[in-house]
Amino acid sequence: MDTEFPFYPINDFGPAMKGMAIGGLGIVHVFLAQFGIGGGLLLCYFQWLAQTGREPLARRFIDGYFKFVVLVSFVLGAITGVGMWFMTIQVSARTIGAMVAEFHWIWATEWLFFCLEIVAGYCFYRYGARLDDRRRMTLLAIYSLASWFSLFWINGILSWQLTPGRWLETRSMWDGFFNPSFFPSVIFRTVTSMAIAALVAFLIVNLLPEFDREQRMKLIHRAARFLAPALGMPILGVWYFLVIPADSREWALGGNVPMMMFFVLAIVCSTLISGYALLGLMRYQLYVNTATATLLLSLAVLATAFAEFVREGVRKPYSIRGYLYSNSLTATDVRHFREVGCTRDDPYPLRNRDTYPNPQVALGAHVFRNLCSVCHTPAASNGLTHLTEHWSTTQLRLNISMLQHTKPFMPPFAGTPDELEALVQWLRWTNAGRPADWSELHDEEALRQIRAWLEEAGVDSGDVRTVADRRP
Amino acid sequence: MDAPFPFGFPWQTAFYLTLLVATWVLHVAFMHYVLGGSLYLAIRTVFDGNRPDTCTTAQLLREWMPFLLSAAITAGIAPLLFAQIVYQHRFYSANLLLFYRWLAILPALLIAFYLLYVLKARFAFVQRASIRLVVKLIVCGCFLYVAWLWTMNHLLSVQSVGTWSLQYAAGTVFYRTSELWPRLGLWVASSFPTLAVWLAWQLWLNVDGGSELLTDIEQETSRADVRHVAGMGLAGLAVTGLLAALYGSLLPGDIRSIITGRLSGSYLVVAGIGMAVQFAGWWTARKSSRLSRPLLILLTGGLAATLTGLAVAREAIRLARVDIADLYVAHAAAAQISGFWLFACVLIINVALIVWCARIVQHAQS
Repeated sequence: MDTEFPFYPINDFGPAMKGMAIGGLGIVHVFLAQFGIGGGLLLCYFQWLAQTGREPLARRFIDGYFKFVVLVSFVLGAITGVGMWFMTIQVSARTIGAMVAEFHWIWATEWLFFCLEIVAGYCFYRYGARLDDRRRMTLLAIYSLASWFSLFWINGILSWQLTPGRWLETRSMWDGFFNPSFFPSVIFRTVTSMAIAALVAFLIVNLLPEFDREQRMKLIHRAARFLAPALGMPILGVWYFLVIPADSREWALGGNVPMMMFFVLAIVCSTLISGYALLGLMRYQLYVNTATATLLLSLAVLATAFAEFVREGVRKPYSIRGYLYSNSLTATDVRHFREVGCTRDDPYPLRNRDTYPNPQVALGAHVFRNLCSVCHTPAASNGLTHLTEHWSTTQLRLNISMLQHTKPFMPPFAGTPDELEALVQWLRWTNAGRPADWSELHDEEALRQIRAWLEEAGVDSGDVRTVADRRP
Repeated sequence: MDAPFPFGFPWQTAFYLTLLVATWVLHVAFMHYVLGGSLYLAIRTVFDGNRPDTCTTAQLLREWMPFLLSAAITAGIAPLLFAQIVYQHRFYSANLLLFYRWLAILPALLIAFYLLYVLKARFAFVQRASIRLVVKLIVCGCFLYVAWLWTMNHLLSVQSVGTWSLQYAAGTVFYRTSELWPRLGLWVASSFPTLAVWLAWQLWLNVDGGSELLTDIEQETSRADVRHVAGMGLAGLAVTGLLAALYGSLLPGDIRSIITGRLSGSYLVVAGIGMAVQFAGWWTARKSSRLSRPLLILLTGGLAATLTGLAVAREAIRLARVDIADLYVAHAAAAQISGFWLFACVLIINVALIVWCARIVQHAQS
């Protein structure tokens, strides 16, 4: 039943591009997951404060805080985690397929830590109040260990997508897992988790009715210590940027304006939080009320959102660097589709074919669906109309034929010259407002020129420093 | 197909199939508690009307369903993972074809999760019978939607590319097949015997374990609870048996002959024996109105046999419909990937840590 190339049904997300759907969900999930991880560490710290007599209020705070961990992280975090899996299937089944195939024992190991996290967490939630300090610390330490290890395992897989390192040559799972950005990434995320846990603590302390202002002040300054490691973020950030590919680094450092802007905004938000921690909390010992805590937490959400946008963005034109392009094709697939076309063997027909004025435009729509729709819409978010409406026909043909050189964060075009011409005609028709009458255009000279451009462009990425698909 | 499951396949395929079935059984044990529990609570509220929700079984369910839902979701990750190894392309294609209907199971689970906490927290507004009924019906509806979509997804995943293509072209909202409702009914009905075993353990640990300390009224209440749970187990088994027979009769002859043949015939026998053991156990419990540790162990053993037998039969139906030989190469390639020993070591360590957590909890209870 399976064709050689794994065609999948492709869904239309309407005016929202698929990246927005997975990005939005991803930001929520990452933030909640990091809250759960940092929360575990913070609770261990407070338990230590309680059992060593350093902070008599700590025990009450822990029980209040843990309810939030359960209600927010256990519930929303767990479901958005499964949601990420399902959404990744919607966006790129082949990417998640490769991630699962290559790292299934890592995923399975991570699952064991999920199980441990749930058991230890619920044991504490249900029985913690009745336990002595030593046993409370044991449960919290197991919970915290389990949640941090879930970060450890998933971090290896996610960082592999951007920096597969020696895996490209060896195909060794361990080479992929302990890839060049593994350690800076896991340390960075741990520090971020601690900062988020502290910021959530500020808010929760204000929401718990059993504390007066003076007590809140004490607890807030205890929790603020978890912000201190965030001062090392610039060093971790530099380390991370040194190990990621040069072209990816360049996108964030000015090569791509939106990416650079988001990168700067992530730094600004993080700096504001760290600055407040350093000056407001440590130097001037200020009180953090509900409004300020909410504001700081909002900044943290924004910093996470911007940073995740950059992390996802700098991977382009790949979803797995050096192996799988963002439209789920390898360089070998591109070569194959240049010969046979990307639509010929596709078992899934174009929907609403009769709404297109002629077969050539319909073919173009089919090409758009198979090659472009993962990142673009016709005329809405990241719409091709906005990007191409002022291009001439020759420009459309040239720019798409040599797509990876036109814009190096684009993958190479993966189709025949006829399909490329059909895509050009579909774009012209769309840019013209989709008129009912539109005649086909067959220009042999144009097709010859497109073929020449395609050959010149090759099937590798536009960045000469990388070589795609080294699989023998 | 001519050897008992999982033999008769290359070892790599057999290995991943075994992991898929084993982890799926674990997931079902938790999932049945939540599915059966939500149905039970909703039905009970309909019949109890304005009376407050004070019976022991309802209290236990309200108290434990949030945790068991967490456990069900977490346990569900492993079979999801192994299903992707064994049937990757099919699983993804079915997901994609159902699109937003499939993704809607996530908000459904989220709504159900938080409403379970609302029920557990016993907010004042939930004390009103009408509100309580609405909340329970929503929770129940959410879980039934998830069950319905999972069944649909599974049935769609075993179809041919031709069927997928037609489904995609038509843009049909849901996949319709005559197998859907009997199959869904079977899994919903089979959740009650599982739920009964769970509740029996909980009743025994909460009450019967210390029955010498109970007053006469408490002992009578406890006996009534046991009879109630035993009745649930007996009725659940009877309906499950009937629906299993009905579903089996609706399957095409060639599929039926495969699942009753060498591949899973012996497992069906195991499932049948498990049901008979449970039936005898519940009958005894209902007559004596008492639970005991040996009886509970017997019931649990019977349940494990039934769930394992049904899980293998479920897998056999799928194997009968897909050309599994096409996937042997992919399974062999997956088996080449490192990491199994890491998984095995962490499994041992984490099980030990989970046991440690349980011992700490025992201390709290004592």
